[in-house]
Amino acid sequence: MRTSNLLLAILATAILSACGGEKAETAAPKQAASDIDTSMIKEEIGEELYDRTKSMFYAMPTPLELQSLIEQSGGFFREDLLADPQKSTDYQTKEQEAFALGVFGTDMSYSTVFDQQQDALLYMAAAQRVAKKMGIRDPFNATLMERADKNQANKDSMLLIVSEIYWELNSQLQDENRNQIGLIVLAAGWVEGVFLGSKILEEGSPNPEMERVIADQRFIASQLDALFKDYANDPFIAQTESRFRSLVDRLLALPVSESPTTTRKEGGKTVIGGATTVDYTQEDLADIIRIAEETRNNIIAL
Amino acid sequence: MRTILPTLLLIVTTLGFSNQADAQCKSFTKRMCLSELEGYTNNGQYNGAVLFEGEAASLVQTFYSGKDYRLYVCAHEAISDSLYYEVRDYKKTLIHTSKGAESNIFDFSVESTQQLYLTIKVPDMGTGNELKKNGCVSVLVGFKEEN
Repeated sequence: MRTSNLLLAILATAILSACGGEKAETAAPKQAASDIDTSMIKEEIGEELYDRTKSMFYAMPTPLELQSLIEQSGGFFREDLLADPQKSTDYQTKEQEAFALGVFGTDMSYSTVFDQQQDALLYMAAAQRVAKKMGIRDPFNATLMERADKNQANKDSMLLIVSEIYWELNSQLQDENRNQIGLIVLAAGWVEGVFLGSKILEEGSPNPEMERVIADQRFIASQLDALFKDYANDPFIAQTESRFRSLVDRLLALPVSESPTTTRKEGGKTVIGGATTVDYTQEDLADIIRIAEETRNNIIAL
Repeated sequence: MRTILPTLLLIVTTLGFSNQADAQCKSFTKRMCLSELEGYTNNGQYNGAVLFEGEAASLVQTFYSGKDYRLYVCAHEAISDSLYYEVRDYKKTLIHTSKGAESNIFDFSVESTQQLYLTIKVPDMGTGNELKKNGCVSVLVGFKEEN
């Protein structure tokens, strides 16, 4: 059971009484030790308890964190890369709407992080229009929209508002047992985030820090892969998963080096060292940048 | 039909309970938990559920290098004293446990981006099935630029 299927997990537990075309893109990725392994959890908490486990979350990150890392790594704002918010009413099918909500949400986050609050409001409104058609009202309630309007000069307030929007979105979809929609919204948002980051990386001067951010998306790809497998029998996921597959598989093909985990205390926090590092070459990155763009263009096409 | 009907009723009742309990969990999290992330940006994920004695919940999440994180497991008072959680790496190495700790907050950073496994446990306190303690549990994660 994974993060965005919490309700399904609870339901299952309750009822049961107790949760590209190229070779590199299509090759089945090998399971690395760092990939999600539920047997580990089963061993750790014991078989009996695992069977009664209320829920297993595979937390799919919201775009705010990735965009914040891109900014921190020396990224910059490129309005020309963003989707067209005027097209928000053109998306008609359930699949198109979920993709569009994810993409507009990321563009809203990206604009907020780079302090382009006029753009952020435009994408907030675009996301609201799509969400409304999907019956998602909680994240874009009047109070939150009014706060965004009043606080657009304050980046910190806008970041808070955007994080609240995602929190409300996730919780509403979970409450309404529409986790598969939430999964596709977040997957589309993730693709948009990788697309924006990789285009900035491609255009700017060499930036190892941002290269690392893009390569580290391998971890998110493994979470998505696990979620897609979990929902393999869901018709909506079965219909939409293929759109993400080439990017997920290309990232999963990156090898991961492992070293022992260390911990130390530093200024009131624990610093976790070692563990896992994603290895990559410039060819890998070029490939990921190309596939991210193809995937993104594919999901926003009408 | 004799057996199907009660089963259906049970499912409907359970569904109703689950939805209602989840809505209450959301409200509980808003009122009692989110403020603990002050100074951090909430990552926007909602991970909340009602846990009973003897139950557990797990979370797998990616944490990026270059960020400071706050992990907070917020639980209703009915189970908060007995509940504890553990954070482990991909090789099961125990990194942090809240057992015996004064708070359910874990502030940390990672030197390289990695997935961490969080397991939350509400130990069985031996109460009868009909009296089992239960309450909302929410997992909150906030991040900020690393200090």
